[in-house]
Amino acid sequence: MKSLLATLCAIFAASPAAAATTGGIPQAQVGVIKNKLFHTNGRVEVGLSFATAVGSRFTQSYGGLLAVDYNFNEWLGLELDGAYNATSLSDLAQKVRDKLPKIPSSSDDISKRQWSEMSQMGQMKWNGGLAVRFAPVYGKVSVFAELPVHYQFYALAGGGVAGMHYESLTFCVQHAGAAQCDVFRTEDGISPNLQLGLGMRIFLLDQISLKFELRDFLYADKYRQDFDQSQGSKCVSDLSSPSCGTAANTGFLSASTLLFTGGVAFLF
Amino acid sequence: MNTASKHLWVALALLPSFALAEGSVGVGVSEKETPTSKSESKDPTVAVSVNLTPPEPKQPANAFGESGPVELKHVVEIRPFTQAGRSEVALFGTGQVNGKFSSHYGLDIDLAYHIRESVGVWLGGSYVIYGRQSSLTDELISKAHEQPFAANALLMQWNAAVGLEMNPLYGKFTIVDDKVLHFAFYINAGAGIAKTRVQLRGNDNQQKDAAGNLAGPSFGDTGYRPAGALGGGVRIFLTPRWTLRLEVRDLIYSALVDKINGCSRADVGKVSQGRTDVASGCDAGAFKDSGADAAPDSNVKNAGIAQDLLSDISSDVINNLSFYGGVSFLF
Repeated sequence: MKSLLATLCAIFAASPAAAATTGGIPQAQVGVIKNKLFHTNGRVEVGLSFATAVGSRFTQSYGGLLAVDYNFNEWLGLELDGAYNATSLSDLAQKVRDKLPKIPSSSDDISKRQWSEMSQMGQMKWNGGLAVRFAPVYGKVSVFAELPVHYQFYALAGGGVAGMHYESLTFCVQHAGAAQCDVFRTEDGISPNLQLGLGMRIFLLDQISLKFELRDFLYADKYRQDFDQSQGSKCVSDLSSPSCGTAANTGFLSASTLLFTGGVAFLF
Repeated sequence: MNTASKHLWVALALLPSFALAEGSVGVGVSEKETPTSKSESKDPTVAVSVNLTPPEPKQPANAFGESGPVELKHVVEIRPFTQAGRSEVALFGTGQVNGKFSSHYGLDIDLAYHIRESVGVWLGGSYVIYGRQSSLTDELISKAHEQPFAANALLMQWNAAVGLEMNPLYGKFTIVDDKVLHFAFYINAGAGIAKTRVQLRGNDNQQKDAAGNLAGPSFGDTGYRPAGALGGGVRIFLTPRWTLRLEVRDLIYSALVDKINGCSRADVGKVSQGRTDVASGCDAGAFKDSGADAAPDSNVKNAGIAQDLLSDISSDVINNLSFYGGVSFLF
């Protein structure tokens, strides 16, 4: 990892953009925005943000994200990040569960017994990853015609691993009667993921800025199909029984968790 | 710095008291930062700097905590592109971003007149090219044997609205410290109507038509609804006349679904049994699939689905939040 960082540092330090000057003043310090007050070139940054999932189908997530960045120049940086989230099923998921058809009995027709799990039920408990951040846009906006606010837009891309928790909406593994399911199937695991994001930084002071981001974590979905709902008790931990159905054949980027994050970053 | 932006810099000094306030957010200009402005101030066509340094010899620390003499300036830039008195036509591609139970993609055209630099009126209309129930709805039907209330999954076919626009914020940015682009944030609000319908047969329904092909989705008319529009976006000036428009607009419309194709639940029940003795205003024929290959019993099946949808009279206020991306031309 050290050699990788050293190589990247050498590449960006030697890049034409870093060496360019305007009237003898490094371009990074002049820029085309007049009075570009805030610079990130060569600085380490630590950011702490609140994170919540947006646009999820049946899950909800609240947590925090810690990111440590090194900025090679004004617009390129490398980030090491980690997130921890408290996750659960949403109210909508509970409503769907409440209206599920009755648990079939083993004497029912196979068409009534054979069910499938909903897709995209992954709950991302934690994540750790490495990402490249590209911040090509720097600007300032006039608030109430008098107060200039300096900001930066950036995109990031990277990869990592995430601790995933799956809780089925339909696969009942324990029930006392036909009316209601007591326990639904759960599964935990670690999945590799791809991370893509867009963000905005508002500079407050030279060392402190506010950051708002949308980060999409893409990973392979997991759910089972064509299981025998009347035989769910056989599938609590061992899924080898034919009555437990088959794992859906999903692609690497078949599911995602979109996080909105908002927090503060300190530049050193 | 490009030529256009050079001609648009006007520096004005404000009261020292205001400069103090600026210092708190880091916009005070210190001597260390003056090389650029000093060189530009030699050319009066590029920038005009007026230094109203207050008589007090001591100045407060600047944004970086540096004490000592501070040149207190406040730079106010003139907007390079005026909107006041100009008309604008904009063409957008639209896509719903909060589509839990529905998906909408379409086109929108807006006409605007900017009464003042920061105030305008607009008239616009959207046509939904693809408006279907979402994959989530399809999955709920096929896997959980449930479907959302008709009101929750109401689809919009088109809408038209008229409203006002305000431009409270103006700014500029650079891309990789090279090209300066000017932009203005705007917010808008309006009112109008929306034409709606509900989806009866699902997107992945396996029902076949008379020719043996998949029949595809079917729809039932739910009429016109009053609609409101609230939006916010950014107008990026690519040239003095052409702008890139990025906007998020929330179309809000009421959704009380108690009739489909003008038919109450009782009438829909009759259609689903093949009967024709329905109340006036109920268009029983509308339940039949269109096209030469339509299955003869398609009206019965569609009416059966409509009857399920009307089993619980549902009402809701739909927030159809969409991203609008497009270009506009000022003239």
